[in-house]
Amino acid sequence: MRLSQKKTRAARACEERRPNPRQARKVAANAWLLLVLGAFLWLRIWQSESVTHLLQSFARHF
Amino acid sequence: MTFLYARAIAAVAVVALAGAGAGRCLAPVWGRERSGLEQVVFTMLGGLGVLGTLLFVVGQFYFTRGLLAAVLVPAAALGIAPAKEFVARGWHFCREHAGAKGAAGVIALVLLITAVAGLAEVRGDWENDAVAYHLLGPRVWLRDAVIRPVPDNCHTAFPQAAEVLFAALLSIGGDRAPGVFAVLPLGLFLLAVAALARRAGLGGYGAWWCMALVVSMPAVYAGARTGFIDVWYASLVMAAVILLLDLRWPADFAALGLFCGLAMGTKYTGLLVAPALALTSAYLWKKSGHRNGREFLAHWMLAGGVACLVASPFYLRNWILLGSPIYPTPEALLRFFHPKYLPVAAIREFQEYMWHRGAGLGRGPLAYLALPFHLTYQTSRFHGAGGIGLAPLAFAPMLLLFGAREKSTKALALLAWVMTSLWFLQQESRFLIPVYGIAAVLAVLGWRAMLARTGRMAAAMALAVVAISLSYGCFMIASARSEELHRVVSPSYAERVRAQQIPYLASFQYLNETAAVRKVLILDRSVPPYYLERDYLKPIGQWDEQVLPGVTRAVDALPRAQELGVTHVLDVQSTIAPFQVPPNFPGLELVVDLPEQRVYRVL
Repeated sequence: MRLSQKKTRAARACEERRPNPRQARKVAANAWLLLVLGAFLWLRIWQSESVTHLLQSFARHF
Repeated sequence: MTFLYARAIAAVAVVALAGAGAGRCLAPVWGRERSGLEQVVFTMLGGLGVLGTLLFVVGQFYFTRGLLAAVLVPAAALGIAPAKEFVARGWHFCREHAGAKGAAGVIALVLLITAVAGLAEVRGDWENDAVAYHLLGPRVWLRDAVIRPVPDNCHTAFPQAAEVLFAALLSIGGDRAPGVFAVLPLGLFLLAVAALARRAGLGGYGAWWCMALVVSMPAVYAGARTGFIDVWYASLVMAAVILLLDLRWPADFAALGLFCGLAMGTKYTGLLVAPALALTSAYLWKKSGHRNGREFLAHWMLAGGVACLVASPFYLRNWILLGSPIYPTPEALLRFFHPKYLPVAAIREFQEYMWHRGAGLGRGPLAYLALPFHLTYQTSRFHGAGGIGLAPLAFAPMLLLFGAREKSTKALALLAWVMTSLWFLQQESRFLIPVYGIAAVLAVLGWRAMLARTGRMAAAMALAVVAISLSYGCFMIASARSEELHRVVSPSYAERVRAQQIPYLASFQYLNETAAVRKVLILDRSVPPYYLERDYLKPIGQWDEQVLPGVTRAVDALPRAQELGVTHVLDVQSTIAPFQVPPNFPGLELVVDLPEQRVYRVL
């Protein structure tokens, strides 16, 4: 009885160490959205001519 | 001005009612058991498409305002009852799903911009397709009282189901009517996207967001502007896709064939849609547990037969009159067909132009794999179309991550992939509009799947993605049409900039207002004859078409001016050529002499 309990505990511990696929998907979804938003900020806002122009005129003032 | 606007709006209402009336007669093809939304989409698209095809066939022999009235008025009378029903259903749908107020607001804003900006006068040079050929053909047909390809512009020989409706609008509603009409195809495309979303398993709330994402895509909107037919074509393809997801009876295949045929009768790209649909249909057929391949083939032969029958008038007419069913003829077909007016060198030059124009996103395998990224971010390589927003790239992969089990979702993804791969050969952004509609549905499906399985952070980022997509898209659309909106609200501004926006306006005004002008010889191929209200002859066309046998330079037609019935000659100094009439040319009297434009009277 005691042995089987030990096994169950061990199995549970093993399971806990194994990556949880649900959690992994959640992390992947967050990372993907962050990437898409980051790429937008970088490519469409930061590198856009109007923003560059704005920053340059700002730098000229100071 | 108010009369001009009221007349245009009334003409659009008459054509819309006529579409509903014609569609009512077709209702047995797709059956009565379909949802209200699908009924509206199929009735309006099918009705307007069939009306355009019918007018095209009759117009080959006779095309006058009397004929248009004889066809449109009874059809419009038939359409009053279904139109009332559609409005009631639409109101019910809006009230039932009143939660998506943000999405509804975006849709209303873009439709309002389209309607108001559409009231502006059509202006531009030969680079504006509406001026160059979409509206040129209808103007010439109405003047000649018969539908014929304009020999100096080979693009007027493209399938013309939509342009025939433009002709009806120009005839009844004046030159502002095609601009106002742009609201109708855009609205129908949005309804088709909503119907597809419902068919793919989304609720009314999801359907609203699909519509909002689509309407705020500048790449979609580029095909919905005055005189453009791309969104109209995409709506027909979308109707076929809705049917594809629920093919049960032979009648469903016949309806699918009808919409494929109407797409083929609207744009040549429709020829590539049917194989993509057949492939996806085969996948769905197999997934549904059907094993009888012979039955599948028989059904698709029915669909193909109906499609060919519906599209045949456009291709047969070209074959008979121009020597080739597809005109301008692709180089590969020159072995079988011998097109008139277009020398082989001009065909090659045209194809080269199209090939180079479509190279914006690259050609190699890496460019192919990077397409989702480029379509989202590299909007400047889209010929100014402005991208499709972030939502498809952000949310569609969520379907892979969280597992898309429904076969309809997988079928839509397969269809989008096949159509995009075919499009990759000729990358004109507007040709991909049907895929953008499907991509929006997949995006909202992915968004829903993600929200069900992730936490607050993902939900907040998703909200940011949607907010950026909608606001960036609306900003691009509004700024693209701000000049037209300005012209509508300020007639004095419109008058002030008229001469800058209409090339050689003074000459056109002289030619249109002088009673002695009967036929004008236009020497420069960049002059847009859309603005000329008189009969004309352009010996060398926009794409180097040769209208007169043996005349390879426009100036060679001058000695034959009298023999050709020409009363006046329009000579200009353009960006591609200097003045062409030699000094002191005998038999010509200079009557208009302005910088960059001259008009001669033939003595």
